[in-house]
Amino acid sequence: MIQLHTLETLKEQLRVQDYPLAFLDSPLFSEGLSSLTKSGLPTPRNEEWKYFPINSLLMADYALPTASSHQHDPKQFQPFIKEALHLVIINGNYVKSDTFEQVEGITCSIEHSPISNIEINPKENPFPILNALLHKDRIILDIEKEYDFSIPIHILQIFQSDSEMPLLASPTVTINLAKNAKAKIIESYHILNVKNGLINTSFSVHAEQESELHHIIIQDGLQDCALIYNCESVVKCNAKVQDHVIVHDSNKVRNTIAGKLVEEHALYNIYGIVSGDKQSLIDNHTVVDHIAPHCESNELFKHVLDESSTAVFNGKIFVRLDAQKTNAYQSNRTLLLSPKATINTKPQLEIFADDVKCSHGATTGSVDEEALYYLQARGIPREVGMRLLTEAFIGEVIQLIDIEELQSYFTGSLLLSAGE
Amino acid sequence: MLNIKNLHASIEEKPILKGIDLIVNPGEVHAIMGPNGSGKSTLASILAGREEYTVNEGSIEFNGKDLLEMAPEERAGEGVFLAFQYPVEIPGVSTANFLKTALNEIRKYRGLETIDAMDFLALMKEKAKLVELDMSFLQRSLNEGFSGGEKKRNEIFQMAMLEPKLAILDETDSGLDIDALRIVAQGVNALRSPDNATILITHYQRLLNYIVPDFVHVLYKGKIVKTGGKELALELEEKGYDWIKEEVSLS
Repeated sequence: MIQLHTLETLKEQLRVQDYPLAFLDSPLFSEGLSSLTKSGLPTPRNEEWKYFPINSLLMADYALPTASSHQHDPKQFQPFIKEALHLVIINGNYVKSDTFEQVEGITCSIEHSPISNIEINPKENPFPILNALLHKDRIILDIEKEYDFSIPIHILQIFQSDSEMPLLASPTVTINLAKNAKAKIIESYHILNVKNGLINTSFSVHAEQESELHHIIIQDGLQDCALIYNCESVVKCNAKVQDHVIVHDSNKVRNTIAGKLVEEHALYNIYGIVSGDKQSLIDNHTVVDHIAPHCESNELFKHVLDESSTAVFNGKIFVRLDAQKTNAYQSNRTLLLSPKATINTKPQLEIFADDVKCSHGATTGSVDEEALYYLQARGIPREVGMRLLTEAFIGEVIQLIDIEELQSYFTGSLLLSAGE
Repeated sequence: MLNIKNLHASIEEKPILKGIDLIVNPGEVHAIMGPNGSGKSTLASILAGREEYTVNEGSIEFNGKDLLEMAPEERAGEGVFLAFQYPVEIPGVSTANFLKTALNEIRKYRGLETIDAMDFLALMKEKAKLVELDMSFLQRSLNEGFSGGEKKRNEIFQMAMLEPKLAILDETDSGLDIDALRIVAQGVNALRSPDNATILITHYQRLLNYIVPDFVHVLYKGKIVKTGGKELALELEEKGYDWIKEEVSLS
């Protein structure tokens, strides 16, 4: 059992668990723990967490994942992409398989070390450090240029618990793309029987020169667990990373997704679809950091919010002093389907270079009544019309998913009570 | 087919229609003309089921059923089609997808099976020819970026696809050049049959050269003040509406 509200005693708490002791006494662990206790875990007074209260999550007693012998057939999980290479992770623990052994250009390995090389600002987001302290398996995929880009890699993040106590899982994945390597990675979340759990994921991407990654994150049907998802990509010269996050039918999700353009002519795109209903709270904080000149980034987030759902969007773009000739574009559009649905949106551009092209836009509105009436006049009842218009609204972002099977999977299935 | 009795209607307390009586039988083409503000568009809107208008008195029967009790989609199911004066643009919904949905909803309403994908494609090709609409238009978002003429042709294309019993064309000729007018009229005429009827709402006599009406009604200040044959339209073209206005104030 572990308690987050007494962080200073974390080392002692872990000592009594089944935890690798060598790791526990390493200087890296102590460093990480002290920076975490110094900053503390966020309260609503912290601007970055203003709309995402986590107090109840922090006060709970959690069970840490234990090794499990469960086997899961990827076919049981939606979406199922037949040709994909499946990588199953249960509660953050890697499930050994020989999937990657015969495949050229890709290797899967596990490491157990407490800190990754990401620069984290614990004041803004301490959860990656917490992940670093609590995770067991860091799953690493090294992809070389020989890898066949047309075979998607599907990471299934599965969560289940036999304990009565809520689970705290810390999945950790690192993707290393070597020079000229290309890959498409689907990362989907599946909660089997966990109540009031907390999932704190750390996903990091290193894209060497000329490499390319399409990363599609599917957060669908996450009702009984809160998900705090942290993803950071470092993009080098002429490399391209595209993150796509799709949130649907989920209760409490906070995504912090960042792209760092560290060398010239790097490209980072981030796209999102958020479908909210009931009382869901979906918070997307994105960061695009133009460190090097001559880079490009594109961001498009679309929200469809119904009932009493709330969404938060904070899109940060930093253009550093030397990042001349930057092209950075951001757009956030929201469709509110009911009077109690809420969007808190804050585009945030901090531009220090002076020869750049940057734009941002945020629009919020409800369904076009004229359009609905036109559809009715042609025989289409209101509910069907609403579905058509809502689908049309998110269609633009679905079209940007580079995997055809996923495009068809999502078309028509991302709508909640508006359609059901 | 259509029986409008003593229809009084208003919008936001302001009375617009002050007692309209009109009977339209299958196979007939009726033209409704009149000066601006007479209530022509209001009549069209009420027939199509716009909620902003209030019917204060009177009734509308369509094939024996109470039209005013029906939601707009039910009226479409019954066979009423309004070609809008200002068709709306709907980005993200292709004309093809929209029409397939509409056709299937109407078929559902009538207890029929949904249309087969191949049959639908064949139907679209056939009807697109009627209004000289290129197939590529149909994959584009509904009316998005269409010129005025293209939007009106798209309305007639939809009419051809849905095969209504009663088509109401609300100032379909406004904003059209001669070629577009010819194409639209051609389409409307090709769809005429002894089983369906058309109401043309128009300012100008010009359209009526192409779509020859059986009856011409003049709507003035919310009432039909004169009814005649196609010659009435020519008379209006020649003399304008003043003589009608005089006739009305004298009586």
